[in-house]
Amino acid sequence: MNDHIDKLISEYNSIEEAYKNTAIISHLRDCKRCKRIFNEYFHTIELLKQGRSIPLPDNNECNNLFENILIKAKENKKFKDLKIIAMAAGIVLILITTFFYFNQKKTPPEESHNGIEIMQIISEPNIRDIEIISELDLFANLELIENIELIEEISKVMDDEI
Amino acid sequence: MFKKLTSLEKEGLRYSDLSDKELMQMICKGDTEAFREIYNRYIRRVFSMAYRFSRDYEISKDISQEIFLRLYQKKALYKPEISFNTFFYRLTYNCILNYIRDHKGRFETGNIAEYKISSPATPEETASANEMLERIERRIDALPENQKMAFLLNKIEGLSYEEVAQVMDMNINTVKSLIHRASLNILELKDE
Repeated sequence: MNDHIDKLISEYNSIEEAYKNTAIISHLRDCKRCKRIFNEYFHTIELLKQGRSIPLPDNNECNNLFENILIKAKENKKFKDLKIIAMAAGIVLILITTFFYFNQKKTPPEESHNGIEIMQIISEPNIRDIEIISELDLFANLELIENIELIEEISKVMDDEI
Repeated sequence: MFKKLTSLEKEGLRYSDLSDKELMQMICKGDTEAFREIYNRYIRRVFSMAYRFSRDYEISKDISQEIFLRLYQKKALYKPEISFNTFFYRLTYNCILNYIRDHKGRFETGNIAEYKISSPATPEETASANEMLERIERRIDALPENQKMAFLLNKIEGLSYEEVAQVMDMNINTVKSLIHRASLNILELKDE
């Protein structure tokens, strides 16, 4: 391997892994530049893994953080449950309103109170009306009686002609 | 496929003996102690990742809290076929990304005081180690977000290329390219 081995550097997570490749070993034996780079790279990864520059929280803070997480998880669950109940109540209300609306539309008009009264007025016989009708009939007959002599003469004339 | 989980006391097991996947199965059933065990295993790693993006202690705590809260709330989405690493780090990635997008421009990077090692050996070793650490952290801070995330997930958190690709929702070759470019940038080498 004559070229520098920069391209291979990111394929390995540790120098031990890289040293399993015999081609790399033989190149690093001769190339000081690549040897320096490889050592620096894997040393960098080790330092980063140690996290020595990260101000990690101590045990107390970690415990407090965990308790906060549990409290928030319970709060969110309560809120979620309330949301579900509110949605279910909303749906039930809509269904009930829709049921009553369509139920009322189906009621026929003659069953309403106003209709009943009108029908009763129309159907009940009016005694005064009957009396009026009877009187009118009587009156018509009286006219006939008064003109009876004239009607007899006309009928005689019509018989003679026949 | 997985060992049937009976009462831990009967089998003489402790939560610390269980794998991440087994703990996650127990969390899905509402086991708070299993959740605590996962939390203890990952809180420092998650905090470190969040800190490398925010460089702020309180913000890193907020992000870490958000990650574990989502893990608990979205436990129903976890299936045993899914790798725990992929599931967990995808949550981590999304939370960090959301925080960066919501607070763009407000993160300060390159704070030299933050790069000091807390437990030095000799003064000379301290100065040398601090100098190197400062250099490394500056270069990490200067990386583009995607390169930084891919590099940290693969080299520091130990995820495979496939897992990183699933977490970041990218092609595996793209992930390899990101990690390679990040490595060259950290070493201040040119890509030839």
